[in-house]
Amino acid sequence: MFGEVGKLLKGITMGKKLKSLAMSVVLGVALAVVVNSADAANKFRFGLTGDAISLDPHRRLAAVEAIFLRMAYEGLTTMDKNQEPIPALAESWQHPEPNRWLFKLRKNVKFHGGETFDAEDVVFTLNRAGEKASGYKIFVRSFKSVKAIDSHNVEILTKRPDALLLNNLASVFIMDSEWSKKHGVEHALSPRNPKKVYSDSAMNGTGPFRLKSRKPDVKTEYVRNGNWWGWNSFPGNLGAIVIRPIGNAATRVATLLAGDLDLLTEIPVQDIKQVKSDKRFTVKSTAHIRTIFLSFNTRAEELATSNVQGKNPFRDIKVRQAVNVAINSDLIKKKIMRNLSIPTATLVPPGLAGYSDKLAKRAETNSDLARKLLTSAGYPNGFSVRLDCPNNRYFNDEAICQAVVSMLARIGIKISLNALPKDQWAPLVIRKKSDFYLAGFGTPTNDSLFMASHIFRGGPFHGGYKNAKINQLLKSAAGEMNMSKRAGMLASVFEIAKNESAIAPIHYQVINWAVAKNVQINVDPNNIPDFRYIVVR
Amino acid sequence: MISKIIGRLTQTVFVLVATSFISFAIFSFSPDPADSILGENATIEDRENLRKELGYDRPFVVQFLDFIGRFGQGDFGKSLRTNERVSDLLIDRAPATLELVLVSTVVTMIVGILLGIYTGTHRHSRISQFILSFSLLGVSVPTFLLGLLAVFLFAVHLDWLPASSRAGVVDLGFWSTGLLTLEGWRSLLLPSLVHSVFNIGLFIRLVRADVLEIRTSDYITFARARGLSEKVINYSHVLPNSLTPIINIGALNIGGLIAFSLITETVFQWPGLGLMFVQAIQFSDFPIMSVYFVLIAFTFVFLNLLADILVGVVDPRIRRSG
Repeated sequence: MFGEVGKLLKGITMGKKLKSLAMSVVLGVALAVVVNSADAANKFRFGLTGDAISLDPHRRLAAVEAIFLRMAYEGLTTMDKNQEPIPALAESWQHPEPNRWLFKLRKNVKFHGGETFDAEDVVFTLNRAGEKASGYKIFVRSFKSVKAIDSHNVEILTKRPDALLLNNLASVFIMDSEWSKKHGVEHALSPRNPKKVYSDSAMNGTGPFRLKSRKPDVKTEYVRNGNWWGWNSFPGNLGAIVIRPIGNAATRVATLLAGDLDLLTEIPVQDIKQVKSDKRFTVKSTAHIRTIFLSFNTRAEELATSNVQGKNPFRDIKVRQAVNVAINSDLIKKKIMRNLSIPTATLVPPGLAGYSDKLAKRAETNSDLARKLLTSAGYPNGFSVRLDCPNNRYFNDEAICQAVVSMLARIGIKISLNALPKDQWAPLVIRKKSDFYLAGFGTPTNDSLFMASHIFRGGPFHGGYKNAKINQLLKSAAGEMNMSKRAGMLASVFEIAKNESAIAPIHYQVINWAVAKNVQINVDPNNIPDFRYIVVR
Repeated sequence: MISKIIGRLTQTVFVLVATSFISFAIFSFSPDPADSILGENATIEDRENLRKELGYDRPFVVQFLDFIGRFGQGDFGKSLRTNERVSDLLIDRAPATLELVLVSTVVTMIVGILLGIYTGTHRHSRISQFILSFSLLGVSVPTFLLGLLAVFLFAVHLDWLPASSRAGVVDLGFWSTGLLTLEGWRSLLLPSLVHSVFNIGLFIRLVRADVLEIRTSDYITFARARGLSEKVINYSHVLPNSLTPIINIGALNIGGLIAFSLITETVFQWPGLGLMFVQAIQFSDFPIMSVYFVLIAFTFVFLNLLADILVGVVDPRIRRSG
């Protein structure tokens, strides 16, 4: 048999004419392949690290999902550029009694599928969002009842005065009750429920863009909803949007530089310089609503990973102060974050209630003072402890931890660094098995009370710190309707925490967006692009 | 021949069971998917409830036997991340990987064999030396690095080809192919070239060694003595006889192309089985991870069986003795 094959090969290689024909075919194909194909239709191409898992508005509370949901859905209110609530599906509202709100709904609004928007949809949605399985129930936690007064008026009764009601309503996206019933998704499914439902991959909202196609982990496409009520008030002019998840950071940047993307919201800090030097792109930055800090386990009687017997060094305020004054956030900013971080001495990010520049100002780094504090606390030779650090969760997290290790070594605290992928780091922290850990925290509701409550009172990232005065202030602030009074209470909370060195804040992350030059966009401190404002020239 | 095949099939089953046991054992050290599914803000009760729901609180042996039982019935479970059936996911992602591997294999075979023969028959030429250095580079430079370099050269600087993702796909119902459109070929070109570099390097050296050995054998000397031309000797005598090791190594190589596609797919965001597996690891998506391991083991075993059969067909000596 192979004699024949051999003869065939011989024939091919010997025929001169055939050879030249083959050559020209190869060259022709090569040329055609190399020459650029015609530009795709005017689509805005957005690259992300990961894809959304569910497109149901009440299933998964996460930043990635928020990006996808906000294209097609909207709430009764929405946030403007200054993070203040303005009318969206509700045209106006009244607040006649502390626990009673009346909303007047916008008329002539239709869902993408053609259904009419009315009060029934609002009642249905707000109830659905508040169900036990819903991932968005924190936004409607204060609600006692929701009632339709007529087709375009809704009454909301709350259990207690809720200062953030309008802010929270911006995150509860209105679904059509008929569409939901028709597709069997009347009730929110918990993300832990393995069942997959229609609303996980289909969207029917009232928002500025309509879902055109969805291929999970490959590509999601939206087209402009020309009938959207808001095009009069928002300047955005995008006709179509393509979202492409690209997991590998280098590939993401390469795809941008190859001209195949218009916006990247997650660039490694080391690539920013290269993108900046490319004339076709600009890099825009802003402080991220995410504070990176070190957290102490003050819960345990004795630290499991420390050489100190019989007591917990982190329970002593002097030890915590020593750590705070030994960390040099400016050096971390310069050497590790390439100047892309904002050092801070407090948990609350700029722009949120309770923040002040005075609060954020760090004391001078002083290793001598730190060593004196440790000595007076009873640790003249320092002590050892393990630091648990994620290596793929926050910008340069592992490198920050390595810097912390050397900074604390100078004052005598010997750290054994335990750097882990976030899927292994998170359980350690959440199950309270970590003595000392790096963490980052923000808020899905633009509300600093959320942050203070989770870090100083109780929550998955809570290290155990407790203060009765702080708890009392938090309780009052939750029910305080006067915004400036509320901000004052929160400022006191953060001041107490700073004086007590409840945590060791390091810096606020900085978000960097790589944008094509012809795109007009403002960086959002939540790292969620607002496509209603994006203009392509 | 038949008895051999049956023996091989039995071996296959044994290998699959062993592989799944090992992968199951490894996954017991993996982080709990509860944290990936529920997010960071979930309570401890939520996590325990999820573990119970997914059956991860049962003893290891019970979980393993359950997995084997369902696997045998064709139920590969559901992805913990997207809730799709794993079997659907495999069918959806397989075409991307298989097309990548197909083109890589063809390129590897053609380039590797031709250049291998050339360097074997023209031992001392300058061109041969150049080709050999190149093959050494191909074998030593990591695919990941090569992929990124290729992307930056061809996609960013020269802007000849797309930087990532699979484009130009035509849906044929049971198979989605990128081979029918120009866009499809453009996006396939760089990934498949990068994917083949390692194997090309390997093949060149393998074929060369083979050819060199055969050329010193008696029957070649006699053929030359008889006055046959070099071309005839090379293609009618050397090439067919060097095929046996090529087929054997080739089979393993194709298996390697499939198994290691995850590296190339990660670099190029190619939506195939490898990328699916990498995403599964990041999420601790056990159902996908377990099935993928077994699948790869099965692929290798199957390819080896195929290679054995093919060698038996090609080489009359084995046919006669087997």
